[in-house]
Amino acid sequence: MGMPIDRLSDLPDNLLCCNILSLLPLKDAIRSSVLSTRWRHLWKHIPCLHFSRDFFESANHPDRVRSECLGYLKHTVDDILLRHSAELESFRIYFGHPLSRVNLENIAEWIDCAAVKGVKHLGLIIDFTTMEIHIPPSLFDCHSLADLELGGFTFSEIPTDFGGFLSLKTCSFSNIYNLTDDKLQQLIALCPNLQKLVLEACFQLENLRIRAPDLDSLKLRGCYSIESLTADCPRLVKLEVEDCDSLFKMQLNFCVFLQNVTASGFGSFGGVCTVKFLKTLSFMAYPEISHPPFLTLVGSFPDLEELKLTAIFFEDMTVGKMVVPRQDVAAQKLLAHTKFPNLKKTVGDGRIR
Amino acid sequence: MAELPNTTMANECKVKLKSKDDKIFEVEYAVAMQSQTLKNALAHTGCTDTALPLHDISSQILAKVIEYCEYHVNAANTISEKDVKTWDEELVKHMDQDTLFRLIVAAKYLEIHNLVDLMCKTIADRIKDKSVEELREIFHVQNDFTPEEEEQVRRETKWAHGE
Repeated sequence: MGMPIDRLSDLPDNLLCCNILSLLPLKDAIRSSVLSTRWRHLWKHIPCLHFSRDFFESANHPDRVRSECLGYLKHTVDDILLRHSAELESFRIYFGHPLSRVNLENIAEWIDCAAVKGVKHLGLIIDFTTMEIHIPPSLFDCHSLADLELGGFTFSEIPTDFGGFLSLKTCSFSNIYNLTDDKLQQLIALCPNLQKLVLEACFQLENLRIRAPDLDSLKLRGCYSIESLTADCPRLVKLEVEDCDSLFKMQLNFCVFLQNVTASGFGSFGGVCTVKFLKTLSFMAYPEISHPPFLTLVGSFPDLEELKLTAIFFEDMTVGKMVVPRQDVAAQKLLAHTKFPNLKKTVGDGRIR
Repeated sequence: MAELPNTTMANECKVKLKSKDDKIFEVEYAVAMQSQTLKNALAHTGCTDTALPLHDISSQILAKVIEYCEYHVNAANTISEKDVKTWDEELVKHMDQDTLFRLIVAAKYLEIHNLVDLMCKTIADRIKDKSVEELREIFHVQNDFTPEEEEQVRRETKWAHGE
């Protein structure tokens, strides 16, 4: 019986790089370079470089003073980016607390590097910051971007010569300061192929107007200042609105494919344009919602099949969690009456006063 | 180029596969279609009684591949995603390394993408969090660096080895 065979090293390069090493935390992937000469340069061809929370925390060594930590962080990322081979599909960095005073120049350089490497998926998340960190202009040079996730940055200006992210399909902005209605509208107009948009805790948005021909999914979360939303999205299929307490007006134009609307945590809510084909409407609301506008809203959807209400408090009625199918007599009464006198519980264990 | 022109024929067609050790396996057309390689081959030959030879795949491994594909074809619309995932995990949980690697090579050759992904994830899970020494031992990797080379590689990637 001979030596046990090393079948792992026998696997083809691209299986090892793209399918196995890319699934490992960056640290483990890079460590593999010491295994044998065959492994030495493999990690350099991994299509993704993700500097996660763990990486960030490992730089934050208790024996190092803060400036040393920053230096270590910068040096390591620089080093890895330098050694990594040409193509990079996905690049993500997470910056946590307390290393929040990240040097802006570094971020700009790293984005530059990623842009040159043709990055498609870019994620830069600043978890906690006490200072304004502006989005570096080099971001707008990442022409091949398909997916962008930004968190904790401050939006400055869109460069006048910006031609747009023509391949961008998914965009997620979280805690982005100084992102006004105009700037967002301008940006979206320059991303004609955008399919999914998530806006979370962007407090400068007030009267949101989204015009995106290819958008199929829109999610708004914790944008407390938004008062109105107008969507000109003919391909919109899914809309989620969560914790947008000031939202009182929602207008969905041309959304003939809209099937799914989930809404929770609203304040008072106004009317909505007729949306044909909407099949499910799910509402989780809090005490302030007043029912006449709500009925107008529900009445706007002639094809509604399922109306799911969770904890909607009307003036004199508490509706517990239940699903009210349209075919159900009770559902008809729900839609026809303002006071729901004969509301019959169909499913669930809601409390009904 | 003979093709399978309609669904009825496709439904009735049984595909024969011959392993390296000359064992014949018969599978439903839908099961064979899980493999991009077989799909392409059958597009050329049409439904045939001749067994497709798989020169590099042993009967033991081929049986496992077929087991996977048959389950997934049947599970497609009937079993919840969660249960399918559990089944997949059970399949690989105690799989010995030898079978694991033979299976991944077979899956790659047959281009059965979700099987390749499952195998790769399993291998990645077995690599994760292990030291270089442990990995060399578990996977029988021969260290062919000179001491100087190894020292240099460690220096170049010192962040990955720290703490």
